Amino acid sequence: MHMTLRHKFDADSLLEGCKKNDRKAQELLYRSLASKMLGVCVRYAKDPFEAEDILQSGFVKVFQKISEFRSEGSFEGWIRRIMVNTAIEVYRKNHRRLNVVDIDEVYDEPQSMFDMTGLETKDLLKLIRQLPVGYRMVFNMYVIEGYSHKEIGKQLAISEGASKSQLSRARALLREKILKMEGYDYATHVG
Amino acid sequence: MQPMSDKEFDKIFQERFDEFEVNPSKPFWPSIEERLKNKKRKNDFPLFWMVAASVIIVFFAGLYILRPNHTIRLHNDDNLQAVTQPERAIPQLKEQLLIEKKVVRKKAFIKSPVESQQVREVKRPDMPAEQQAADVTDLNKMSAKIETHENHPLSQQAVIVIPNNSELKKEASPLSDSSFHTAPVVAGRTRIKSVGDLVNFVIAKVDQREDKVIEMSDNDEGTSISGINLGVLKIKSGNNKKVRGFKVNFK
Repeated sequence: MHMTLRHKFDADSLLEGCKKNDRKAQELLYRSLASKMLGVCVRYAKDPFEAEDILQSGFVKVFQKISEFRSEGSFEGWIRRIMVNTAIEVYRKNHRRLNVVDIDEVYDEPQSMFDMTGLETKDLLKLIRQLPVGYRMVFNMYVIEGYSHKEIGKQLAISEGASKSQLSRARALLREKILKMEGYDYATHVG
Repeated sequence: MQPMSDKEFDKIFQERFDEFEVNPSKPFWPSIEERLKNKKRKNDFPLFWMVAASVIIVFFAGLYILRPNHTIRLHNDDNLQAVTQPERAIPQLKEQLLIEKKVVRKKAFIKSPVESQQVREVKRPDMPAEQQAADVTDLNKMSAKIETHENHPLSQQAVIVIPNNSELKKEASPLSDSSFHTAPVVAGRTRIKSVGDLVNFVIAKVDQREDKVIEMSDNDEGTSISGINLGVLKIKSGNNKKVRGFKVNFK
């Protein structure tokens, strides 16, 4: 069983050690941020194995590029960004073709009535994973990471317009699936 | 209940996932550490050899460029620099080669006691006179290497390497009125002492005009550009060293 640190070290305090390539500092940094960063990677990866690949490659990059981090801005945020960049690299290498054709029916109504509080985050994660990979990338980057459509376009080599349309399609798909899930939940939990 | 807007929809996802954590199935630190070690080793290796190889190449290139080259000066400096020549379309060296060929045909084909090596070099304008000088003296004393080819492509030139011997100077009769361009700076000597000399050397091989595309000369403060010739624009700092300034010609 992987031991997570009880007292999570403050990432910033480990920065100096990591810059000096101190192995101990590096290991502590990894162990204190691994779970959170894996939480980022699983959203992008197609399965848990790919997620763990991204995690490892990401941390290797973190330690190699540590000298590039200027102490302005959040260290953890910088690490997070490297994880996303690694995920994008994997995407570019493996999943280049964006699924433009949608087999699923997309509801025209952009707004549906539902309550998402009943859904666990891991359920939402499942839904995100089910998205076609291109939509998944855009949704993750815009909604959760907070990239702009312009930045997304640059990173994924698509136009801003393409980013916007893929985002709205992603949302529509997710809404549809949530409705279906809730319908299922209602059906089984009625009473 | 209100229908949920996109903004609200996004917000829920963002809040839920911002601090979302997943425990790794196994500790990955060892494999990360391993990769860090490997990458470090892999990076140093080729870099070191690349640097070493470059240094060696540059070193030998430098040796080659600066190799000792004994030449003989048959004229005093005045003659070499005095004659200026109208621009010619035909490369000046081509004409020299013709002169050299004529001279050689008349005299005996002289070979050095050592085997005559092929020395392919473009020689300076002042060379032909030396060849003639070589003819008139007893070359067996010196180990001179002369080489010409009958079917000499114009790109290759006859070359003479003669150890410095001041006796030759007196016996030589300078070729009269031959074309000698004002060679920038390095008068009669092919020794390269500065960056400017190196530049001039390289340029001279390529640029056949009187005023080279760029000329450099050494002054008290080091080497600097003394002339530029871009066809339309010509700048040359005063030929007379007393004059400080330059004249600019626009065509």
